[in-house]
Amino acid sequence: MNKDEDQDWLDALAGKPNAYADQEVTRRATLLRQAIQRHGAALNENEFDTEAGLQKLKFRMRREGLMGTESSFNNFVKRWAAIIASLISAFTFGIAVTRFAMLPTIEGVKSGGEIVEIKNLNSFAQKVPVYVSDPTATAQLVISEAIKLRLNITVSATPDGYNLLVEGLVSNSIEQNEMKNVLGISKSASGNLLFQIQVKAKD
Amino acid sequence: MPITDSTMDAQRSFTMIRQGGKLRDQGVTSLYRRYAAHFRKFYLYQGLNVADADDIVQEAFVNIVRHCNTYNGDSPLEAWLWRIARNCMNDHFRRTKARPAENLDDDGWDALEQESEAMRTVDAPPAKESLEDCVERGFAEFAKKFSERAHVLSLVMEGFDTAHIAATIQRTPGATREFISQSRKRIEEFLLPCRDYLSAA
Repeated sequence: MNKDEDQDWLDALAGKPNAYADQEVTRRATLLRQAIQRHGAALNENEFDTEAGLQKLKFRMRREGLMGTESSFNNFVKRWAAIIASLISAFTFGIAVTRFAMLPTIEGVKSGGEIVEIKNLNSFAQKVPVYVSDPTATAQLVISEAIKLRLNITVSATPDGYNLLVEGLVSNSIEQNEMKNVLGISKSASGNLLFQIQVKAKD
Repeated sequence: MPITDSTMDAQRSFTMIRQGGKLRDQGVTSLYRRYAAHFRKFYLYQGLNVADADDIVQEAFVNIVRHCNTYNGDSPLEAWLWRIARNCMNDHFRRTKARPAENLDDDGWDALEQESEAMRTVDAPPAKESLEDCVERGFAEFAKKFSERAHVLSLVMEGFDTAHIAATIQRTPGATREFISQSRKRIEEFLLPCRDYLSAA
């Protein structure tokens, strides 16, 4: 059996006989091909139901927790993303709580206090008295807005209201716009912001 | 059979399995439809009954999914899949003691085959047997003794190329070509009882 004959035999066995091959080699290989087909059909008498097998497999995989779960790598990334997000939230919340803890006790404060006078501010490092009917509500509003804008704010109680010292670095135009909208204050050319509001009760 | 496309598709399915979630579902579906029938046929050739073969197909796919992240690309994916399929069968034989589970190298297989050959007797054909029946009986005898070789010849018959067959039997392409050539010699011996029919036909 030489290599060419081997190849002719293999070609005929695969159902692609070479027209120039030895006819006897082709004939024997073709007979064997038919025998293998019949043997295969007999082996596979109970025909394989691929879809039924697939459903059975998926059922088992779901039961064993192998289906519908993210891969371990994805789980790893997601778990750490959640941990980092939690840490950032906790840190931010902690800062806010700390700042509020430093405030004088403000009872019965409601948001939406008067802030009309504050909107008239448009200068840097000034000390502006603001007279409102409810100094506590206004102070609370300024504090919450300052915290949102990540500005430092120091609050001290006075006999007739609160002193609010606000300082920070305004770094982008969004914050600047918010600053204008909320407090009516523009930052300096350097971006530094420092002003003091004296919230006092109206007579 | 377009083996290259098949392999690419298997890669894509396997990647989806590794990604998990809904993609895993799609990947399993695709890979199962591509390989399950081949695994089953291999198990049947190895002498397993239909029920056991079906169970081991399931086991093989569960193991493929379970260990999908251990595949590091050192070997072709198809060879890795077939290794798992084969290991599942060996585990079954080990559990049931139905057959010694051996991972034989080429020398081991040759020794086993020589031993089988020494015990083999070629039966005379029954009276009034047709040529086709004689060849079929010869192949069935051959498959009982040399299940691996019979399976490989069935893969050749189905038109699979050497690379695919090599992955299936965990050999190099060169060793696979030699294995196929040797298989031809072996099957010819089993068809000797049919020679009278062959020459008469």
